[in-house]
Order: sequence, then C-alpha cells, then structure tokens
Amino acid sequence: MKRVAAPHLGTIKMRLTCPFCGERDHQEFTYRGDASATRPPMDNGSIEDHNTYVFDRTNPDGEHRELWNHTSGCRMHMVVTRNTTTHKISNCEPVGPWTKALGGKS
Amino acid sequence: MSGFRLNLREGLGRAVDHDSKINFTFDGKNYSGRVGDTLASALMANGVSIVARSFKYHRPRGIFSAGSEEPNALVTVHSGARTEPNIRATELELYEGLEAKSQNRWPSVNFDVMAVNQLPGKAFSAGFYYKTFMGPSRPGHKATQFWWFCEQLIRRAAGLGKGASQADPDKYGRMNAFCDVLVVGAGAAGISAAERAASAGAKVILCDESAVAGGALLSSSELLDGALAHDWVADRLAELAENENVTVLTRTTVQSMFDDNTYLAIERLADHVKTPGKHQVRQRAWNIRCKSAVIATGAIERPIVFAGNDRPGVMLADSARRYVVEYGVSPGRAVCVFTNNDTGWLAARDMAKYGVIVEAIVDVRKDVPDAIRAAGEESRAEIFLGAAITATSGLQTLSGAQISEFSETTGEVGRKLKKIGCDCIAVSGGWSPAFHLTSQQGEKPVWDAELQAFLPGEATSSWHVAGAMAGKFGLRHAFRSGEEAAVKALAEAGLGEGESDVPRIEGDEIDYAPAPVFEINTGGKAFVDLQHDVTAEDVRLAHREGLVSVEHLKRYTTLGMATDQGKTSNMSGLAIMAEARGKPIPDVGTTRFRPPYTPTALGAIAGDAYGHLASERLTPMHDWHVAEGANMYANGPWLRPESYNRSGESVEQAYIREAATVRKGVGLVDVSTLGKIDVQGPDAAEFLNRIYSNGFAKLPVGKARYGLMLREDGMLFDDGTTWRLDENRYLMTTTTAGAGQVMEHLEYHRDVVWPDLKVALASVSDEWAGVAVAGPKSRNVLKACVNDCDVSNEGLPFMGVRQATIAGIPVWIARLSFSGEMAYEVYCGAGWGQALWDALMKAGKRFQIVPYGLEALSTLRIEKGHVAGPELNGRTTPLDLGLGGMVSSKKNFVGATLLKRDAFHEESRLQLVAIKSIDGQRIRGGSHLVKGNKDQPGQTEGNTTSTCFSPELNCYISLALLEGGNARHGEKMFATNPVRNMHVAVEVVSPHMVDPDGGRMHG
Amino acid sequence: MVDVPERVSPLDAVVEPGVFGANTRSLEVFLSENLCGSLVQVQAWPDTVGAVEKAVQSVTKLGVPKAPATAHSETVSIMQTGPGRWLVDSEVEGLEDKLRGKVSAKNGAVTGLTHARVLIQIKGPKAAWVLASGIAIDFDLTAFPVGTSQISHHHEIGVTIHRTGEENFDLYVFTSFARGFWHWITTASSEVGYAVS
Repeated sequence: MKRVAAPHLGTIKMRLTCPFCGERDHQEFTYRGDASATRPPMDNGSIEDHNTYVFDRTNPDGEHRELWNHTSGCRMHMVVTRNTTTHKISNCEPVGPWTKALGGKS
Repeated sequence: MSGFRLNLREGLGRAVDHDSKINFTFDGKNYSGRVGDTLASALMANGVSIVARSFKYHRPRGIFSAGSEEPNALVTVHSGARTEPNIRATELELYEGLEAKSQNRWPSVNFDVMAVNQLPGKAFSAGFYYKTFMGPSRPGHKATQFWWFCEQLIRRAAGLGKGASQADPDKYGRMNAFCDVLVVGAGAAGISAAERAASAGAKVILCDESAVAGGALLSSSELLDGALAHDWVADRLAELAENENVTVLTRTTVQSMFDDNTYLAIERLADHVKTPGKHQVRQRAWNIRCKSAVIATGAIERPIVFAGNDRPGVMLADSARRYVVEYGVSPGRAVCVFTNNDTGWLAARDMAKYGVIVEAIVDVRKDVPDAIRAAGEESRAEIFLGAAITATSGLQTLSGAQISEFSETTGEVGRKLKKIGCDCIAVSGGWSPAFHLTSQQGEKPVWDAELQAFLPGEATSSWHVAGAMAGKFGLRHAFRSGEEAAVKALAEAGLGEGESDVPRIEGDEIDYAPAPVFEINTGGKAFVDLQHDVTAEDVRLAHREGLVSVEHLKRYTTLGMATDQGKTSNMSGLAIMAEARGKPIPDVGTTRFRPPYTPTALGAIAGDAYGHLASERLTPMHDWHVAEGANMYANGPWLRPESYNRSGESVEQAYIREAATVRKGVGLVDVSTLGKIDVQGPDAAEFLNRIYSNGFAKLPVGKARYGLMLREDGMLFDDGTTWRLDENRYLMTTTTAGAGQVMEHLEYHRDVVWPDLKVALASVSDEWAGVAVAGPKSRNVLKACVNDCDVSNEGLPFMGVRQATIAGIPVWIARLSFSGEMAYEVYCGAGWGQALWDALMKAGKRFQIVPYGLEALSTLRIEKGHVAGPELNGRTTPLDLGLGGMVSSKKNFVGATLLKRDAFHEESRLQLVAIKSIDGQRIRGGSHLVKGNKDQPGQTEGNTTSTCFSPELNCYISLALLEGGNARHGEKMFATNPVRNMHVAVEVVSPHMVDPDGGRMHG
Repeated sequence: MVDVPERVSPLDAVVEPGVFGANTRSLEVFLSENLCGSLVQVQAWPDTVGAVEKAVQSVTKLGVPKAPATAHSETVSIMQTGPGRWLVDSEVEGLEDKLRGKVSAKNGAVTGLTHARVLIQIKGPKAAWVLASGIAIDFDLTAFPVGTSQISHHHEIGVTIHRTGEENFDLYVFTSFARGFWHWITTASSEVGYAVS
C-alpha cells in the first residue's frame, strides 16, 4: 500500500494572528497571494486590466500586503502586512463579508 | 596523549559515580568507565588517544574539547538499523553495552591506508575540486564526466561516517510548548534569568544541552554562598524544577531560532540508554513559542593555530581542566599549557591541584597579572612568557613541544627556548561567544576589541542575551546579566519585574581578554578547521587567489562547513584572512550560522509525520475493498481500489474484465472520494454562474450539470457536476485531488472578490458516501432496490437528481455518466456507505454486477475521451481539450477575459486527440509523439496523457496532447518512450472513440 | 418499509477496549469514541446574525455562545466555528430538519455534518499533554479555559476541540481521516499509557 507523507514537517518558523482564532502557527494558513491585486469588476472585460490583476506584481523590498486563508481554522481570509526584508509582521486584519463585524476596516 | 583516571576523591570527578563500572566497546575492544562519564572521558581514562581519522588527509586525531563544539572525536554508535554516525564522543553519555566505532579509517584508526592522502602535499589544497573537475575538458573526459568517474572514489576516501541503510526503528515525539520566557542555557546566567522570571510568576522553559545543567558552574572552583558551585547549582535547579510554572529540560539542545519568537529544541530522551523502552520515544522535538527569550548559551573556547596543532594530545585548555575536575581524568602524563589569556593559567592550577603534572605554561604575553602569576606558581610548572609553541613532535600522538620566543606585537617567532616532553598541550586562544541562535535570525554580530571576539548585535526582536554569550564573563557578571535580561523579557511578556539575588561569590577574578594572537605562523602545517582539514595555508591560498570575502573563503576552503559549523575554528580563520588582507577583523566580517546548532537526526524533525503515521483518507467502504483483495492506490491523500484482482489475474487482466463488464452488463465503483461542497444562499446561483465557464443561472431544481472551472488566467482548473437540490441549495462535486484547492478558490472569490454575495460554503466530502452504478443494466439494478422514486427514463431522465431510499437508507440519486454508459451516482450519509454498497451488490447479483476500480474507471473515460487530472494539467484551456462549447460568450466568469488572448486561439496549440496502437504494443504514459523512426525520432510534437488497453476497441489507446491535433486525425506517428526503450506505431484519432453521439447514456 | 440501518463509524473496526502502552498501572489518559446524534452547521449572513441566533435558541433551548465560549446542556453543545457560524451537536437525531425549518435561505444556511465527523473523547491528567504533542495550540487552562472551543489541525487533519472539563476534551474529527487520527492519538498516548472504553 502506497503511503503518503504529510507535507509540513518539523518546525514552526512564523506566527500569524487570525482575526477570529487568534495567533497560530503559519502551517494552519494558506498563502493566497498579493493582497493588493484587485479583480476588475464583472462588467470590465479588458484584457489589460485582467492581465494586471493576474500577473503584475511589484515584489517589494520592505512592507508587503499578503492575503492568507486560515484553512486549518475558521477559514477566514486576512491581510498580513509583512516586511519581506526583516520578516516582521506589523498587521493582520480580516478581509471579506465579516470584516466589519470583526472590527476591521470595511 | 595517554590519559588516565586519577584517584577519585571529594571534589575530584564531580560528574561521575566513583564506585560504578560500565562496560562498553570502542572499535570492538572492551573498556570500562563510570556512570556520568562521556564516551570521551571514558576513552581518555582508558588511555585511548587516537579516536578518529581526519576528513580529507586521514590524519590521526584525538579528543579536542569536552562539549558539543568537538571537531575531532566523531564516532558511529549502534549497528544495523540504529547506526548513527558523527556523534560527538564528548556529548555521548556512557551506558552499559555502548558500542562505538571510529570513522573514516580503513582498516583501523591506528593504521589507515588512506593516510597517503597526506603525501602528495598540495593535491587536496583549497579549491581542489573546483580546479580539478570544473576546469576545461580533458581528452576523452569532459570535466563533469571526469567528475562522475572520480566521484565514487573520492566519496569513499573523504567523508564522515556512514548512515544506516534500513528504516529507523525508533519512535520520535513532538511537543508544542508555549511560555512567557524561554531561557536557553542553564549556566550561571541562565539559572539566574530563570529564577528571576519565575519569581514574577512567568511560565518559564529552561533548556540545557547537557545531561546535568549548570554549565561552567559544574567544574568551577568558586564557592557560591559558601558551597561548591557544583553543589549550589544542583540545589537551585531542584528548586526551579519544583516550581509548577517552570519546565527544566536537560539533554535538550535549542537548535534553531525562527521568526516570531519560535524555537526548535531537540530533547534526547533515550540516547543515554542502549535502546529506548518499548513505548519510549528516542528524541522529542519541542516547538517552543515564547513571548520573550533569554539566550545564555555561553562561550566556546578557541585554540591558537600553530604548526603540528592537530596531533592527538592537543586540546582546549578549559576542556582539559574539565576532564580533570568533572570526570577525574587526566588528559596526559605530562601537560603543557599554551595560552594567550588567563584561562590557561587557571586550568594549569586546577589540574595540578588534583595531581596532574603540568610541565610548562607558555603565554604569548610578555606580562601577566600577579594573581595569575601566583596561580602559575601553584601549578609548579615552568613558566614561559612572551613565548609560543612553534612545533610539535611525535609519531602518531604527541610526544613533545618546541617552545620559542614570540612577539605578540609583531607576530614574529624568535629563537628556540626549549623542547619539552609532553603528551598533552592544553591550548587557550580566548573565548568566542556562542551567538549562533541570534546569527540564525540574521542579527549581525559586533566586534569587541577588548575581548577579541564577536558579540551578538542589538536585539531586534524579543530576545535578550546574558552571560558569556553576551560578553559578560565571570560569574558575577553572568548572574547579574541573567537577572537584567530576565527583567527585560518579563516586561515584554507583560509581567512585573520579580526579584532575585546574586549569590555571594568567593573565588577568582580574572580577565578573559586575550592577547590578539590567533596564529603562530612558522610555515608548518597548522590546522584551522580540524573537522574539515583546512589549514592556515589554505586560507592564505584563498586570499592569493582572490577569494577574500568570508563567504567565498568559506565555500572555497570549506572552512566552517563541516558538521560542527566551525565552532572552534571560524574565528581563527577570519583572523588569518584579516591578517592576509591587512584589514581589521570586523572589516572582514562573519558568515551567518544556519540551523541547527548541532547535527540533528532527521527522525526528530520528521517526528510522527511520516511513514505509518502519515494521514490517509479512507472511504466508508475501505474495509470491504481490502477484504475483496483490491490493490489500494494512493490518489491524493485518499486510498482507492485500483482493481479487484481475481485469483491469478494481473492488474491489467482485472481492469479489462471490469471495464468490459460495465460496457456489457453493470458495475459499481466507490466514488466517495470526489470532493463535495455544499453551496447555499440567495446568491448561490449567481456565484456559480461567475465561477463556472458554462451557464449555471438557469439550472432547474432537480437537475445536475457538468461544469468547467477556469483559473483567472484562462487555464482549466477543475471540473465536476453540480446538482441543484433546492432553490438556494446546491451540491458541487469536484475531482478527488482538486477538492481542497477548489474550496479555497471558491472561498477566495466569495470573501475577497465578491464579498457582497450571500453564499455559504461547506465541505461535505466526508458527509456523503458515493457509489456510481454504470452499464446497460444499471437501471435494472436500481429498479430492484430503490424505493420512493421512479427510476425510469421519464422519472429520472439524463442529468436528473432525485431523493429516494434504498434498504431504508435516505439517498440522493443523480443520473450521471463518466463511463459513457447508462449510469447513476447514488449518495448517502457516510455512516451508511457500506450498507448502501451491500444493498446495491445484492440487487445487482442477478445482473452479475461487479465492483470496478480506478483503472477500469479510467479506461472507460479514456475510451469516451472524457478528460481528467492528466489532461487538466494546468496548461490546457477548454479550447485545447475540445470543450470550447462549454465556454459561455454571454457572461463574464473567472478566466473569461484572459482566455480571449490570441495565443490561446492559435491552431498550433497542443490539442486533445486520441491515439491507437497500430502494432499491438502497449503505449506508455509520458510518451512523446514523433514522426521519425526509433533511430531518428525527430522533434516531439506532443505527449500521451492517459493510457490503457481498450476492451471495446481491442487495442492499446491513449489520450494525448498534440500540436494542432484537431486537424490531424488519421495521421500515423510514433509514441516514443526512450526511457523504457519503446517506440510504438500509432494512429491519431478523435478522442471520442466509443459511442461518439452519446446514445448509450441517454437511453 | 425497511428501518434505517445503524450508522457505522470508521473507528468501529479499530477501537478495542482495554489498557495499552507504558505505565498502565497508573493511567492518566482515557479515550473513547462516539457517534454524534446530529451534527449541524448553521451559517448566518452578516446582517442576519440576530435572527439565526434566535432560531438556534428556539430549537436547542440554549443561548448562542460567542467564541471561544461554548454553550452546552445535557443533550446539546454549541460551538462557534467562525464569524456568524456555529456547530450544533445534539444527541437527538433530526436536528438538521428542525433547524432548516427555522433558518430560511434569506437568513442563512444549514448544513448537515452528522456523518462527516467522528467524536473522540479524551480525558485524564495527561490528556492535554497528549493533545499538545500533536496539536499546535496552547492547552494551558488560562489560554484554553473549560467551556471553550478551538479549531486547529493535526498533520492537516482538521479538528474542532471542545474543552468540557479541566482534563476533558471532545474532539470532532473528519470521518475519512478518523482512523489516521485515532492511530496518532493512541500512539501518542502509549508513551504514558492509556485506557480505551
């Protein structure tokens, strides 16, 4: 019988603060990409705008807004502000329909 | 070196049980030691002086230190599956029956044929591999080919121990720990910090790498509050351990400091016994999250580099002292101390006090303080000031040292003073703070000219340094800095200051600042990195060849790259490079240490996350499949039946029989593994319409629809059917492997892209068991067991969804077909899955129903040209797979816009076709489609994706992606697979090979 | 009319009552397995939380808790598992239909998960120690008080943990992963010894 290895071995390396569950190891979360990318509205069919949304990334040296999903917890999305040089996380805030209810910026 | 056990008495041999006896073997010879010994101290007590052969030159090496910094005394312990190489004898606690072997020698450590590596002199100098193997090609050998040729020989000759080749039989544990203050190192500073933190009510974890915590206090000659430091520390630790807020972990090395105050420590629970108990874990990996940490990891003594400094018998001075005081073992019959600081003098005094003969103290300094001079007199040694050891003599082990005049200001060696007979040189070149953990975090160390050492830089995160690690040498400073660090840590943990006292200290006040002398350069072979055989000359060669940055120096000479990461050698190497460049040491800089601090067993990192404890998903009918003899096959995390082999049947025979039965009669297959997502809400229809490329807005209640999901870049992402159960309630199915990703894709779009839509998403993959019943007789089977539902073509038309009961079990039935035959998917609560399966098997008995596995399932869909995972490979669009009709032009959806890009519409794209084997040969997955014959196949024009033997067509077939494939049906090509030496003549055909107009499933 | 058959748990075939592991003379870990009578997830929309809370209250006769707090009576436990989302566990069957009757699509969504989870109970002085060896949350009573719940995972197997006492935990584990989880928790417990009832 073929056995499967768990993908996350070993060590912690990073802690993120879920707006609902609190501070957890990053293994509970899934990275969902650059949080500053915004999908063009449904009535916008411009290839250029969609191209920007899907492909254009700035790869900053310093503060970076990252989208994470607490996939092994409450499954909320959050925006993590992380410094790509120092790895310091300065902010974790909720995003989505429940943002207001959790006291985040609309 | 010919060490021996001294007459143990009160205060001498503090770490060992004086009256005990433990038997062990080294290289097959029997020896005995005492409880509390390390392998190193026991070998030394038995007069064993050569314990290893060096990495490159196979030179004899002896014990160099008394701790985890040891570069030489690496041994292999245990045998068979438990074999573990590169264990530091200086850390290995002796136990009854210990078997240890020396490494990197043949046939024996005392006579090693590979020692000829020393003879050609320059052959293995710095950069040897680069120069020899990466240069221009030689006749007959391109450089890399030449490397392949030589690699095996080199790997055998140069290297460390050999690992086990069988699976590790031991268990490894893990612990997730949370605390206010983590204290790393339980020496004077660490204990002081832990006590202070505990006094404020903090939750404290105190880790120490040794079996007995206490650090330098264990062998210190000071009195604390009137008691021997060794006894004082035992009392304090016992007190700490009683505090329920404090966890004291000994034999626990904090290996790594990561971001956000997280640490990895490895606790060795059973490395001091022969084999772990039945239920005992051998090592436990502690993942520690703290609010703040005190790092009190002490300092590592470093040697002075001089010619002949690798002879067995040359060792660190404070380590020599510790062997005497802690283990009651003299490192030699006649000891010579060579130092550039006060440490060496105290070592000489303490050793002499317990009966070791110290022949001479050699100090590069012209003058020393009076108190130190007095210590020297107590040792009754001959004193040489402004002098250095410039050469050593001896056959295999040390027998003498040449002492010469030396100027610490010019570095020049003067006239020879005396040749002294000695079998041990105890050398001290000062102390290097062990800032490995903070360096791992990228904190740049700062040079301290007074201490001639790098100190950890400013803390940029929640950690605070204390004790020798912070440059606070001496007990008084250590205690005080521990308290201070704890106060800062407490503030970060949001706790009060607490209180504590520094004990009353009686003893030496010494200056740990050394003279700035790192090397006595006489041109002889002087080793900087003993573990990787890097000499001072190698460092200068790197300089001459322009590899002057520390990073280049490290990689070119491999200085500091061995298992000890250069704990005792980095500083000397940097100093020699700085000297060669004519620059101050801090301008040369340091390299960054990488985790782990000491070598760590992979088992401890993997812990319980691999092998028999890996997580598998099982369907409710798993046990039935296994009992029926199915081969279980991993599909993502799921285990699924591959085929149900009857006796004597191969997998291929079994799946062909199963698939043929479905085409002619009826079969059933476990589809519980499909991803299932409950989609509800007033905006659910709109949401699905935006997610799928085909229309979903008008799907009626009681109907299912096959849908395509695209990524925003236009590529196919996943497919499956979605059933409208109710006005505002849908059941979406996904591929087995794609379920998790699809769920995240949906959640992303709901939460981040369209947060105004009211849609609830819940994974119900585990809620529902699913069984597909397929074949021309499938309706007969359902008729025989379904209640409360008309399953006729009118009652349950193609793509219809109905509620019903089977054998009392509430079920949903959807008339869907993946096989192309008339077929149904029946879903029920997972807890009834087996009962449903049994009921269907029973009802199907008179129709000769058979269970079919993944292989037959795949065969049936390949024959139909239905796509699955191998075709949805992330690089195909719906157009490529002939699914253009499912791309709505009337609406916007995820992927709609970028799918319009011109390149996706080019005729030359890889497009889905099928191929049939013309010559009867099997077509392998991953074969390339080419026009040429076997000898000259030509360019690849595509590749096979899903292959099988088709019972319906009676030949081997495959789906394939072929350049411009839509227009190439009828073309003859070859499917070539050079790896398997196969070249199959094939014909390109339409992927819809069986029942292309779909009459069977609609019937 | 045929009766609805008994539900089968994936653990039925592997749970063996008895005493196992090291140090079985002074047991500190006790494990057992239960099937949920009914397990239902209720999700409100951001503007209908009040209405859904009222509906849940009328069906369960319990006040709806705010995470991490839980509410429980003899027969019902309610845990909040996300914003506007609750997991309701009842020993009584038929909860899903009752809730669906009270929560319209306008107000929220009701999803039956009775078959989707297996309930494993662990108790004893070393229960938290065993859990901490695999689950990366702080089991200290101050961080995880009695009468609260947390969601986390073990080797990517999601688990909802309800602390019902200082030394008592209810673990809701995904059904398809339940055997793997059971294998882990018994292996982890064997270091200190455990009893299965």
